[in-house]
Amino acid sequence: MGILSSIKKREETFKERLSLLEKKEPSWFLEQRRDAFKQFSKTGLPTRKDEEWKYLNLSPLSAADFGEGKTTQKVTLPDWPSLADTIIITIVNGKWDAKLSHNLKELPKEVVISNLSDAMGSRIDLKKNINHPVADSNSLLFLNTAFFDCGLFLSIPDKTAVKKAIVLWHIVTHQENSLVLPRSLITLGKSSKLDLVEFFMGQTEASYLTNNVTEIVLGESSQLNHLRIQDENKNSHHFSLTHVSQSYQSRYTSASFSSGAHISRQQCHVMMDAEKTQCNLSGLFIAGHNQQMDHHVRIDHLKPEGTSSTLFKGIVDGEAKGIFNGKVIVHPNAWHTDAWQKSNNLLLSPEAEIDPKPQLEIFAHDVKCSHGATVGALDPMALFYLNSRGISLQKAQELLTYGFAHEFQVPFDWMKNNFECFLTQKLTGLKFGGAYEEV
Amino acid sequence: MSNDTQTIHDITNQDYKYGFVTDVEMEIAPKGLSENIVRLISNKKNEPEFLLEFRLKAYRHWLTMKQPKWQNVNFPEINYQDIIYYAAPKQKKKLESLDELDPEIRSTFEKLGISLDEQKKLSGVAVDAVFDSVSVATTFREKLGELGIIFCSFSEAVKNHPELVKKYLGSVVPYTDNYFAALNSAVFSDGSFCFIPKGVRCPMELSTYFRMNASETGQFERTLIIAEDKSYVSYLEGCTAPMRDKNQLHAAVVELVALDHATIKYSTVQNWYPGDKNGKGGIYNFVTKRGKCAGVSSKISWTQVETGSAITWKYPSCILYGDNSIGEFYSVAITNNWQQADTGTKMIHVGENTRSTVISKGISAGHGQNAYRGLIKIMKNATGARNYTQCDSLLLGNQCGAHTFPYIEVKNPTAKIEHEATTSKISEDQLFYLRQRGISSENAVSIIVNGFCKQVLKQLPMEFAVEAQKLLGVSLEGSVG
Repeated sequence: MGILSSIKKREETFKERLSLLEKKEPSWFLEQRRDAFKQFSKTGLPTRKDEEWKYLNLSPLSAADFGEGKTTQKVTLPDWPSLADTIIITIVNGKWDAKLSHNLKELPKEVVISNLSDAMGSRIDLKKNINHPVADSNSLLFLNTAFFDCGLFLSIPDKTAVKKAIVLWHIVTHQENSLVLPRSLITLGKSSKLDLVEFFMGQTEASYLTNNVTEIVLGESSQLNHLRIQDENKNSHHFSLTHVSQSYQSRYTSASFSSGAHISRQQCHVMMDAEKTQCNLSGLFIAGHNQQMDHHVRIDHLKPEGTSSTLFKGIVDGEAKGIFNGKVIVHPNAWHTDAWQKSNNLLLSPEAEIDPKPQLEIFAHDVKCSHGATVGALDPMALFYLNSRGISLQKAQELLTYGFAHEFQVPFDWMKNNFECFLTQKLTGLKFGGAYEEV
Repeated sequence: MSNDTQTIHDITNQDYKYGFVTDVEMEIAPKGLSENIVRLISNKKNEPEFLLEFRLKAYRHWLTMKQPKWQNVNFPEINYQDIIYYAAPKQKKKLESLDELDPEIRSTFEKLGISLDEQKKLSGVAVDAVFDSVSVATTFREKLGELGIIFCSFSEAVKNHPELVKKYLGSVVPYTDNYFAALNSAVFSDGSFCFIPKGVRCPMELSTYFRMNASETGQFERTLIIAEDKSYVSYLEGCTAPMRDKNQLHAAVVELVALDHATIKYSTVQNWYPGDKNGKGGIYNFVTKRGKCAGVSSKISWTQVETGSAITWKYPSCILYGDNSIGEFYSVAITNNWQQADTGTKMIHVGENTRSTVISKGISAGHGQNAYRGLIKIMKNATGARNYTQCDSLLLGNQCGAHTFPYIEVKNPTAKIEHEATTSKISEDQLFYLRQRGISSENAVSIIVNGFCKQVLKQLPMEFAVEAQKLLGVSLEGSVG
């Protein structure tokens, strides 16, 4: 029996886990784990009755038996040529594997990479940095907090610009029905700078469930460029929460691409809890077959003069379902906020569904906020134009879809070519549901 | 205090003009809600069996429901046993003509600027006046009757045209629909009924004027409009209430049915008592309004100007069944002082090539909270559906809020949906520009606000547009800080 379906098993596993961790982790965090466990036991997985989960059906998950997994496979490293010159931190089945990591020596000396459990034991200052997202009261977060194993702690000290990008390479090699719970805490000191890539990929065809939590704390005037690529296998499920808290004049730029997993939900929550912060989020998702892909973005403008922008593009094909929810909350006193949000969606097949919901909640005056959302199909005139010039219908549709996707850009020049190839490959896989006929 | 602030201050502090109370002899049911009260209301009105059945079913269903909590407005729990569900001006016998109408009531409507006097034909608007829960007078009835148009109070329709009422009542808003619709279905006392036969274009604006007078009552009226094939009607609705310290509940249901090629235009200027400057008193305006474009190429257009009520919570909606049918929603919602509004629309596209337009303008001042909540739903068979939504908010104070919750659900790839929203305040630059040209700051704000709302106001029939523009002025002028 697995952790999700059996209460008994869940309790046993939790006790076991705690007894192992008691020596390593400080008591304040063990307390948080206990609380989280209680909360998760109380609520279970979210249901569609919860407004935030209205469009995503998780019932197949509670029926399946996700539990601790066993590894049989060997790990292979990424075949992205552009990653050769980066620092790769390999996280296998939710646990950091130092041996499989690359170029760690090239990091500046002051940069700390360690096991999160160990780091908490030795650094009391982490208490204020971890478990911020509790405010989101998301039961998947509780599940992660209660059960995650080790976790990763990455800390960039003040005034350090890390020249090479750091790649968190998440891979899963577990067999059927395993629950993978990666957890990372990343802190950037004053005036530091980092390029960060998070990859999520399965190396098995097994059905597993990834439930990732990444917490990011940005110090004054720091700068983080963050790219997430989610390309898990189509039998697996992917949930992730990225929680960012920003300090004075810090800048957070994020790009998120996803095309994998059967049921997936990616949440990003940015707390702009200081003046003059800047945050730019962008995303592209391609959902086909029977995939269900949910993206939730929430930006809290808490202090004056923050600027935020959000651009999400969705491509939905086959019988897939795409969901986008973007929420911008401008709190009282967050004057001179400038928030902009756009969601464009392309429906490629008669069976596909898209549910975008851009949301604005404004409690301050003297702000400038706007949002827009569109849903549409490929332009038949443009298709006809291309088709009548000898370009096959499939190719024409790919071209137009590529054009639509192109507004999304990875934030790193060195990766652009590689990403283009990757994207083209993903688009070639689309079926286009036969909505148009060849000339 | 700067000049601008002063003006805003003055304007936001304007009094509610319609707050007087009329002294008429009333017939009032005891407080509270029970099956007996439902029977009593039905009995008072000599209703046929089917209607009593309908009421009782609704009441029993209501008992199983809970008041919804998802809305973005706050108010203390309503005690449904502390409300009077039936209050009517006492009338000894049936009225033969308008001359016999209680002069007190007549003068009330006169004060409100509504002419019930048939001599004033110049105004060219047929009015059904609803005083508390009962329709007291309907003008121009005979002239409309010549064309086959039925325009009368709901009770009369039940008496004279039970077959029509039976066929359409609850066909758009079933009593199971929501908490307040169920409550209304159980206890509704009167309202307006309008039927436009095949091929008739209604020659004048039809209008209902709602006046809440008695204290501690709730107003539960029901409007039903049916437009048969190729007919056209434009319908107006206005409302006011006296100033009272206690909150009063207004839970109405409006159902529209448009058959093939028919057009219904429904305009509302809502000016219920909004409560005083400290948020005390005021009307809770929880209304279910829905139209069904049942026939091909039919059209329903909602226009609303919401300036009153302590809380406005309503979503005039369109179900676009017929192919090529059109739904429209134009709204201006103003919240000042402690008013709250959660309003918007639902456009459900079912038929092919259905189109909808949503233009919503929210203005918040003082401590007002204004939310747009909308749903655009494109069903699987709605090939070629098209929607355009625009919701803009204007902030006129530093303690008010503006929120947008647009839901979009698309199940057909040929659908084209656009949504855009902006929020901003009146900028110093705009004001400076106008004042520099010799326009007083009061007028400057008024110009900007009117410009902001123009897209919606121009949808209103002439008489209403003038009234609405004035109302905007009263509610808002100078609210810039």
